[in-house]
Amino acid sequence: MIDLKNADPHFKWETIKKEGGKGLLKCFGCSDCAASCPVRYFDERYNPRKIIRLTLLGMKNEVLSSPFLWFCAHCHACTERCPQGIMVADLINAIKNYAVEQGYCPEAYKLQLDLLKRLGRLYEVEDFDLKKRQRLGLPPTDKTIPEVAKIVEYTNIIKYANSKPQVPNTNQDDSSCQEKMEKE
Amino acid sequence: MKLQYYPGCTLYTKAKPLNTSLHACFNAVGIELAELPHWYCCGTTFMLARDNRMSLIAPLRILAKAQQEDGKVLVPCSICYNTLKRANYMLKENTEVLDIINEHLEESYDGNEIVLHPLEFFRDNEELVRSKVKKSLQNLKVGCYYGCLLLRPQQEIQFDDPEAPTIFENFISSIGATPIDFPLKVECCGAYLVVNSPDAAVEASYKLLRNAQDNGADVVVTTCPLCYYNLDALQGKMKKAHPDFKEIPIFYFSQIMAIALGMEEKKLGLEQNKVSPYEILKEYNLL
Ligand code: SF4
Ligand code: SF4
Repeated sequence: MIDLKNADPHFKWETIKKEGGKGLLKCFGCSDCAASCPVRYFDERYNPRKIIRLTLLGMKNEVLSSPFLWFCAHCHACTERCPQGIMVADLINAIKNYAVEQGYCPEAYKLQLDLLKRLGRLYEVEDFDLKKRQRLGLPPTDKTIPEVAKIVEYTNIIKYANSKPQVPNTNQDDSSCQEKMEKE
Repeated sequence: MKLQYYPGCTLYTKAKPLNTSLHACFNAVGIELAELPHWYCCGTTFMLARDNRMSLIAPLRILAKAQQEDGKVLVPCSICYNTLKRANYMLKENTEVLDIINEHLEESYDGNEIVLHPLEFFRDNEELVRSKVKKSLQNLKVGCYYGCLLLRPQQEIQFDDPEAPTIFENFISSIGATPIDFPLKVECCGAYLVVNSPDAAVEASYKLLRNAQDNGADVVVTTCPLCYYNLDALQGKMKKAHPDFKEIPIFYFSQIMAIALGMEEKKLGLEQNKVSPYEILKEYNLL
């Protein structure tokens, strides 16, 4: 059962303002997307339609804190089959972006953000890499790229990502969230 | 003839065999691949972007650079192909965004560069390919795996029919092998779920390899470095989860083509395959 007492009527309107979010209102709940989704082969709890319906109902916390949101492989099978022509995968992406803005960012991405802030790179360049470059006849490369770090800082994304407490980690079983998804 | 070519990062690292075998194939049909003089990562995904402008900058710069050289650019990696083509579509549809990005860059771009996949090139030059085939692969049953990014979203990619594509099978026929159609050829391999939920990728890849085998495939062929990794390197884990699973060799399309064109073994990059391809190739006298 969904408790609509907690529904946030603004949630869907805010979602459609996001890049990729504009198809949301067209969803008529046919479940074609869920039937096409390969992620459901191994985990029935992931369901794009459910995410979309919960968004339409305004269940902001359920949706944004759900670890399943991050299960989408972005394969676009749903996009291709949605009879309403919704770019479903992009819509899920829009909701993910929203989640990060609200502080629900998976740990793995936070670690990457931290690297970007410290080094301006996603992969640390070690002496080993520099030697390897030398062997291949490539010029040495900078260990840090301060400009990129500055851009990251300027986007404020780190502030968003860290703004609220605990984050769904898709590797762990989040039972409370799981229950909520199952109850629907 | 020269063809302009954007390799993308993986072709210099994990997907080197795709790079070397592709060069060999194009050389064999008399075409020189001219690498873009300056290129960088295409951006790969749009994750965590608060808007999509930022993620369009890298593709736009690549396309603008490519356009200065020639009107079309060959992109072999499925992920780069998808990113560049989607970006191209968006920039063309949304001139407002195009203007904003153009304003911030030294280069300027009009959205008209043609992004070409090698399979499209070989489709358009089928006779040329046929005429260069040296070895008969007739007995080799090849499962043609498309994956997601070459096909979807179709409106923006316009590669082939997203549910029942045929370009890959036709290509495999044109090099003389026997293509095997299997229902899950357009299904996802688990993609980058391998980072966060590896079991998911193992299951997804297992399911589609099993499907290819059930339909008679000896080997499975792909165009995408990430699919290649999931299908090939995860087979050990698949076997652990499903002990009756029989391993099946995975190839890049260009490796199979290079074999058909009679290239010497060192141009194929077979040594990087996790699942040994040698037994099956010897069985059919292809090495
Ligand atoms: S396929 Fe489209 S219309 Fe149907 S439930 Fe999914 S998003 Fe909604
Ligand atoms: S894009 Fe995501 S939601 Fe859609 S079918 Fe693929 S994995 Fe499922």
